[in-house]
Amino acid sequence: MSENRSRVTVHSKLTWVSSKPLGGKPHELSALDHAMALHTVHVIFYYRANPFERGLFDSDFSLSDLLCMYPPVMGRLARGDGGNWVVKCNDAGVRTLRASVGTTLDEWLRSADASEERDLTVWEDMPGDPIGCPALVFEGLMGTWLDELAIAMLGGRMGLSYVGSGAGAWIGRMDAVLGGRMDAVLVGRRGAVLVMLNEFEGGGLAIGLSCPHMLADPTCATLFFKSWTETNRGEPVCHPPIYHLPALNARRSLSTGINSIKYLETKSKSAESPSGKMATATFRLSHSIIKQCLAQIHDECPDATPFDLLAALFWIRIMRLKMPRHDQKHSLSICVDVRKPIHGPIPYGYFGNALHFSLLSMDAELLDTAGLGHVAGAVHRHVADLHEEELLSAMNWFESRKGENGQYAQPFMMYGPELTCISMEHMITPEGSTCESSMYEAAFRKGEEPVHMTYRIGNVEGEGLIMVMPSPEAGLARTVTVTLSEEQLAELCEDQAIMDLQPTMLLGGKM
Amino acid sequence: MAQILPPFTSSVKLKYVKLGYQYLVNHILTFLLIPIMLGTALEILRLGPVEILNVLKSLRFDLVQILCSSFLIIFVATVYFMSKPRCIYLVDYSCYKAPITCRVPFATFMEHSRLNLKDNPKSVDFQMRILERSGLGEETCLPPAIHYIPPSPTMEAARGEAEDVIFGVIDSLLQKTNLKPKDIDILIVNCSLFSPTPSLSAMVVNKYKLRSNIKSYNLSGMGCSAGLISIDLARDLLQVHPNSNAVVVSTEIITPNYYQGKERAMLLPNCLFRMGGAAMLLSNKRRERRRAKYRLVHVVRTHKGCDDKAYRCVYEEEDPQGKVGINLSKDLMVIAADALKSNITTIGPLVLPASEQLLFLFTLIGRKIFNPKWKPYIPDFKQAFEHFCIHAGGRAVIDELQKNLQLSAEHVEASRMALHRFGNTSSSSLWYELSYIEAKGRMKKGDRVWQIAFGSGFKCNSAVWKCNRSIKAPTDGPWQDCIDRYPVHIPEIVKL
Repeated sequence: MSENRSRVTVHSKLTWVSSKPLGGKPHELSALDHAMALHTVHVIFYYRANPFERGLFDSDFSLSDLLCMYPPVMGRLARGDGGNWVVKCNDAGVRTLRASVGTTLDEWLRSADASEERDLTVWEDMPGDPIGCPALVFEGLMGTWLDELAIAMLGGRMGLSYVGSGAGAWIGRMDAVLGGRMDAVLVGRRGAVLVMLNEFEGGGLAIGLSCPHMLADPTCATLFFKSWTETNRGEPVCHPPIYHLPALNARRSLSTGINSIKYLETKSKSAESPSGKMATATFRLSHSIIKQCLAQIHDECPDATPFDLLAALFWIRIMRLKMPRHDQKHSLSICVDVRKPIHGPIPYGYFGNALHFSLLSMDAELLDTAGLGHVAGAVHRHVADLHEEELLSAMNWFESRKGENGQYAQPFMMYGPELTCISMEHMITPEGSTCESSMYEAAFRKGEEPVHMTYRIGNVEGEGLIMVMPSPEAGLARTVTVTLSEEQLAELCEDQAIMDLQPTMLLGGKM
Repeated sequence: MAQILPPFTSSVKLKYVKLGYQYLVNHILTFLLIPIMLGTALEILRLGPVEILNVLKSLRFDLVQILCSSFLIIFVATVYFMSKPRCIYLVDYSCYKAPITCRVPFATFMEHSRLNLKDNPKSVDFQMRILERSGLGEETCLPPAIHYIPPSPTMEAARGEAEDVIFGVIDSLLQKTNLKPKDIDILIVNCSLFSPTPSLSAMVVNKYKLRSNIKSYNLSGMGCSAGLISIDLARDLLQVHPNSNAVVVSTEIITPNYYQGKERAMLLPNCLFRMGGAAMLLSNKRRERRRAKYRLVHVVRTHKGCDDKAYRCVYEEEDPQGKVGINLSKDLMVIAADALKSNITTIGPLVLPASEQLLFLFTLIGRKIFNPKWKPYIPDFKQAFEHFCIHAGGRAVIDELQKNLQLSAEHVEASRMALHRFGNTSSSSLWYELSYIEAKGRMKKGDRVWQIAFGSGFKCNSAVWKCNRSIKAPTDGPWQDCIDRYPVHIPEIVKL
């Protein structure tokens, strides 16, 4: 939370609809979608030139045309019959906000920190169901959420106000305070997808896209955005959305993937650990440096990908910061997207959640003493061993947790409590393929690629989050975003091993 | 007001009697003339040519007498032709098609309503009930300023909407008719609720660089029937000015008038009124006869403003919170029916065939002299017109008129579909309906169209057009991309 007044000012809000009326049956969400209910996805694209200078209504109708392909994006989340979440495809539209930022794009990239960056998207929290209350609606402007909440609690009457992330515990208390006045709070169904256009001084635009994790995971949110840019350029959409996969719903009894199931079971039972104040920093590492490092560890791990390398590196460094106890096992939760570009039961265009969480554990001593190559090798082997059967067996497990009336079980924190590392390697196109899939190809006009991209996952708890993403620079370059507690992050930013990689620091706040 | 005729009239035998009676009375002159002509022809044949010449010689015509008679005949003929009113032709017209980004689905409208009126759930409920029963579809459009939460109706936005709609529709008209802006002699713009200075007609003159001696008029405040009032004005002007073109633009600018308060009676227009506009080219030039689509036959205007209740039934005022809105009174339908009756009484004699008029006369005499309890005869207007364009003021208006005039579903289909696709576009709705009939390929040469519009005040205006040439579908117009989907079945209540 920034103490100062936010530099972002929202000045208008409207709803964007498709060019043709859609409608249709409610879009049902899968078991894995329900499991992600406690999180939200936020994606921010930064552009140097503003393609929407003339205003939304004057620009090409690319978003309206695109939305014809995405009825769930236009719809609203609601409880269907049977108690499970569905997306009612009622054409309600995508809420779009316009804001202006009081600084230039470069200045922002240099000096803004994570909480300020949150102002660039619309944060909605997913109340889930542990409180047993109907969906609370969070719309309106971004203010300091603590003030709003205090007013609401003291006033006992909640109009529409914001609740930021990490508010799982707060919502419980709100219900107690408001008691029977929840009927005054319920305002129809929850929004699904929100878009925010932030204009910087001197040109520059940041487009923030938020949606509940139940509806879309970071990959398909990015693909939606990419389809928008493709439509704006007049090109056909590369990966049109696919909503139903029979393979995903098939029941198969598999013996593989027992580890993942055990891990998920432990996760579901772990209590919510209140996390302290978290901060985020972004490290941009160049192609040449990564190449150098990969060459260094080539002996121990010849097939290492940049993800393996960076996950291992950051894991080691972060563990060193946490006063390691040599008798413990350290775990890294690895989150991998299981979409395959060409083959496999889950194609690239699948609109929904296709993330797989698995656990990699190593002895603390081994982690401390073994070299980077060894750890990278362990990561590599772990990732390489993941097949889609693992995901399907995880899906089966979620399905098996259904109640008697077919209602899915309560969701739990999927990201956390351990240190979680998210891989975006699937977004990197291998050389020579016909369709670029990297998110840095998402240009509204030819030649105006995004200069930076941020992902944020809402409501993350636990030790922290590492995200390894592509960089604007092609090849092996990567951008790593690390979310840790404030003190640990400050130490990490000064860590020698990381400094040796000569990273460019972005969005690190006023450091 | 409407009385259904007793059931025995629907029996088959009586139907043929009725048909026979209609043929007899409507063509009575023919029936009378034929025997006379036959008789004369027989007489002439009987007399023979020589006898006729003798008869003529005996008349002893003088040269002066012949000259005077012929001058008299020529004089009478000249006076007759000079005093005949000029034919007014509707060369063509165009309707506005809003951009798809302005579309307002029901769900979006209700969400915005909930957000803007978050302290008034009862008003939100009311709006939802109205929307469910309104007969509107999911493709109606509102101007961009209203899409914001909360709506931002600035004057600039209103001017922007006016420019988009009016220039769009005039561009389309100029292109369709190959008319040069310099050839426009008369310009009439009507927009009821938005009246800036300089006027909207001045805006048009400025944009298209019209001539400095143009006769421009701007009608404001006259409600949804202002379109036909403008046509009436154009007609009168075209009688005075020979060889002229008149462009009439009918629209309603919604941006500045979107009610932002919570009074229920005033929220009703928000649910129904939508963006739209139309431009018509009228001419009295002879050479337009070839390509003109319609000829104007009658315009009948009825004003019920002398009655206080009628005057106040659509009233713009401030609500207790100071927000300006249009208050619709509960007896709107009754007043509308009354105004319609008044209008029909005037237009009936002008358009109805003699058979219907006689029946009406007999029933009237009968009621006055014999028995006041006789039900008044409602003339069958379906014999006078092939097509009906009823102002799409709302589903209730169309239902009421259908019942009163005993029209079939097909007759009111154009009105219902225009309401579904475009909403209540105020004075331009009649033109969207006419466009629908043309797009369906139903307009043939000689077809008569009756346009009825109601407006605040309370006014009921009618215009009668006769189709000048058959219009082939597919036509270009606002229905171009969606006519294949129509007609749709509009349920009584749409579940939201």
